[in-house]
Amino acid sequence: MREKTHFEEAKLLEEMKQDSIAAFNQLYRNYAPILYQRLLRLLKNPESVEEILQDVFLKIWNKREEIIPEKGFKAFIYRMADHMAIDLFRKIARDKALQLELWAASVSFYLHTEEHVFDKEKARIVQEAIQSLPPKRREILIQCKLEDKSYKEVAEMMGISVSTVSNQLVSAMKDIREYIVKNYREDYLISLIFIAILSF
Amino acid sequence: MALDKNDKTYKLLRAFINDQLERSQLEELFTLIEEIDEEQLHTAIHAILDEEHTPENLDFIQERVDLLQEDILAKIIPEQTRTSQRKLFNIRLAIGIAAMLAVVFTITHLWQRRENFPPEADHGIASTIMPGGNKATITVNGRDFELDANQGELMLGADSLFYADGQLLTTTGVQQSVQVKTPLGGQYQLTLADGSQVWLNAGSTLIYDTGFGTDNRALRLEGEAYFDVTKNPDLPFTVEINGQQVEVLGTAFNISAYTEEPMVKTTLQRGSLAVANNTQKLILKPNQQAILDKNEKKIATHDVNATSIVAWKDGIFDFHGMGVEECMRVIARWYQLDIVYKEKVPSVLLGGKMSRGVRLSTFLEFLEANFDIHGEVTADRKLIITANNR
Repeated sequence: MREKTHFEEAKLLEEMKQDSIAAFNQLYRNYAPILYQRLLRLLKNPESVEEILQDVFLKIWNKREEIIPEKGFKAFIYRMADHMAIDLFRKIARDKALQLELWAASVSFYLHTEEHVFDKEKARIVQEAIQSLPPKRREILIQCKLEDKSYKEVAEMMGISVSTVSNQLVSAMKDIREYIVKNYREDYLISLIFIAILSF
Repeated sequence: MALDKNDKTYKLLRAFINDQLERSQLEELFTLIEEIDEEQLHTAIHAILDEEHTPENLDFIQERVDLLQEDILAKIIPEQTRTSQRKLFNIRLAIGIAAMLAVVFTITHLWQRRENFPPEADHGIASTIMPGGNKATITVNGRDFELDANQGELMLGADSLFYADGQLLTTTGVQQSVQVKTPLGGQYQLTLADGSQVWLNAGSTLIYDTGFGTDNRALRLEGEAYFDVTKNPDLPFTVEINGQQVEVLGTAFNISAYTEEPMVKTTLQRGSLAVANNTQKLILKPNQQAILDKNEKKIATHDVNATSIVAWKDGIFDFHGMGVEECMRVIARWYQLDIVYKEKVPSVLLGGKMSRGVRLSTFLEFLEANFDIHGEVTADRKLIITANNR
C-alpha cells in the first residue's frame, strides 16, 4: 500500500514537471488539508495559515523542476511549511502586541469547543465581542459554531453560497480578535486562562 | 543539542500547541523560547506536531482549503495559459483557425438543411466584409496612442505602457487619467497595474484616474468587458457603469453595458460580486447574471451559463439563447454594420457558435441555413434582414 502511494506520488511529481496542473491539484488535495491542520495548531489563526500554505504551494509549482521525488516529497513539503510557520511564530514570540493577538486568535478560533471552563469574565468578553459583530455575520457564526449546523445547511438557510459562509466566519473571527485586542489590552486580562472557550 | 522532553520549554510549547496552556504561562513560554537556539526550537516544534493528534475542524479546513486552491490556481494558470490565449487573440492566426471552423460549420449545417440550401446565395459584398480585429486607442494624460493590431495585449504599468511581448509603447510619468477605447470592430486585452486582466470588446471604453492600483481600483466602463481581477481584500475593485456599481475583491466576471442595449448585464464566472444601484444591492454567485433594466432602474438576477456569455473573449460568438435583435447588435458591432429589418423582426431564438474570425458571408450562410433568415449587405454597410417565407 505504502509503496503504491509512493509510486503514484512520484508519477504526479513527474507529471507536474511537465506542467500538469491536474497533477499539481492532486498533490494539493493530498497535502493541503493535513498541513492546514498542522499549522493551525501552532499559529491558531486561519489567515496566517492560509498565507503560508499559499506560499508553500506556489513555491512547489515554481520550483517543480527542481524537486527530486527520491528525496521524499512528504518530508520536503512538511519541512518547508513548518519552517515558514516557525519563523512567523518566532516573530510573534518577540513582540508583545503580536502575543496578545495570538491569544485573541486562539479565543476566536476555539469558540466552539465543547469544553466548559467556568470563567465568567472570559465568557462575558467573548459574548461582548460576538454582540459587536454585524448582524448577519453574527448569525452565521452562531449557526455554525454554536448551533453546530453544517456550512451547507447555513448556506441554504440564509440563501448564500458555502464559500460566503466560510468567508464570513473567518471575518467574524477576525472581528472578535480585533475587538478583544482593542478592548482588553490591559494587563489584568493577561492573567486570564489562555485556552479559550466559550460557555454561556 | 535537542531539548529534553522533560525540559520546561518543551513542556510549555507542547501545552501551547495542544491548547492546554494558561494565559499566565504564555509569557513564560515566550521568554523561554528566546533562550533556546533556532535549531532547538525547530526540532521541538517538528516533534510535537508529528505526535499523534485527533483531527479537528475538518469541515472548516476542507472548505478553506478548497477556497485557497482557487486563489493559488488563479496565480498559476494565467501564466500557463497566457501564451495560448494571446495566440487566440492574435487575429491572423484566429482567421486561419476560423476559416477551418467555418468550413466545418458550414458543411455540417448545410448537410443538415440540404433541402433548404439557397441557390448560390449572393454574398458578393458580404464575402468582402472582414471581421473585427485587435484595435484600440489609449489616451493617457491627454495624449493618444494607436495600439498595434499585431500585438493584442497591452500592459498598463504605473509609469509606462508596453505590449505583452515586452515591447515598450511609451513612458507616461504619473497617470492622471487613462482611457482605453476600442472602435466598432475592435477588441484589445489589457493587464492593469494591479495585475487584473481586462478583455475589452468592440465599441467599448474603459476609464480610470490617478492612483489606480495603489489608492483605489475604481474603473468606469461603457460597452462590454470581461474582467479577471487579482485578489486584494484591502482594495476593492469597482466598476462604475451608468446607473450601477459593481464591487468585487478578486473574481472573474463580464459586464455588458452598451448604450444601445436596454439592459446592463453583469455575469459572474467565479468568485463573488456585489451589484448595486441607488436602491438595491445584490450579491451574485457564479453562473448568475444581474440584469439592470435601464428604464425601470431595477436589478434582477437569474441563472446563466457564464462560459457561453464570456466566450467572446476567446474569439467565439456563442448565440445560445439570443434573440435575433440582440444577435444582430453583436454582429453589427463586430462587422461595423447598420441593421435594417425589411419586415418585422423574426422572432426566433438562435443557437450555435461561430468563430469571431470569419467573414460576414459565413455568418449569413449560417443564419440562412439554420434559421431561415436572409441577410443582404449594401455597399454602405447596411445589413438588410428578411425572414424567408416557408
